[in-house]
Amino acid sequence: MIRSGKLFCALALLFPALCFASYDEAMGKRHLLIAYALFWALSFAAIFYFGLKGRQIKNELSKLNERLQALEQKDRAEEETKAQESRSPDVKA
Amino acid sequence: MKRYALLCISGAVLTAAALCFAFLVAPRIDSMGDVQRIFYFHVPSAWLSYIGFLIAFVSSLCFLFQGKEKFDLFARVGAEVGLFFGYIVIITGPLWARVSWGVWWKWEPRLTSMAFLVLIFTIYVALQNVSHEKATQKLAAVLALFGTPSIYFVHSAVNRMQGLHPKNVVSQGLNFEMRLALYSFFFAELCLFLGLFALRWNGLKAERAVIQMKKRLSKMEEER
Repeated sequence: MIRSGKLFCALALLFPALCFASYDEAMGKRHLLIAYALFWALSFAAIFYFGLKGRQIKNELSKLNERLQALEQKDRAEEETKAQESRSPDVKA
Repeated sequence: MKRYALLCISGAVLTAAALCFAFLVAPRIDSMGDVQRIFYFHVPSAWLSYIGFLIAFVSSLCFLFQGKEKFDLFARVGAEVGLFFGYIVIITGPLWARVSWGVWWKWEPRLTSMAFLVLIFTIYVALQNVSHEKATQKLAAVLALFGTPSIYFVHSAVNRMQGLHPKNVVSQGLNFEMRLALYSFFFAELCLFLGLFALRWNGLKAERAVIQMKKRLSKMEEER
């Protein structure tokens, strides 16, 4: 998947360059190339940024989940010890 | 994952076709030169920015009436993706203008109204990032409601007011090859739009879950 993505990016950037080479005049060619390159650069930057941000948030979510589970376990353990303590005087009596 | 793969493949195929049509098949307009080919990704980007902002408009309306969190999320994603395409329009336009008009920017009706629209949604996104309180969400929704109708001014500015920007030529002034290039780029960019939408939607859903989890944790720690 990654390899095909890289190949696609390379083709997307190379193809117009090959086309430009065959044009006769230089009328606005440079500006067209800049606009086209910016379009692709912005698109890949957006995909990368949104993907990275999503992954960071998912990592944070899994860490918080672990913390929550640890807290709940601790609470359960405390409740059990309290229950045992409350039961033990009865046994003595 | 399968859906993402399908979107990637269809996007790649459509982009390849669009590139062929735009750079090889579509004829060059001699009066404008090669720079006119910016048109094939400049115009679809503008259409997709309108779609994103309209999604934000409808979802904001639903959020204000029903108050459900998912509508606010949907509006936010629509605004962010629409804004991305809006920035592409704002960046690629001046590159075309520099060659055609001799200046990077002109305060003429179409350009000014588009800049205003992009500015409104930049403020919207900034506002949504500042705080996740209900009041801020409502304020942002109201901003989207007042901002989106500017699309009408952007669209009609070239026909109703005198300006330098070319008139809307899509309905009449294009031949078959040009239309093919334009629409294939539109569908290729639509795949990008859907991909970005899905990515951001998942990210924002996880962000909301993090906020709720943090609230729950702090409540638990306070009780202790």
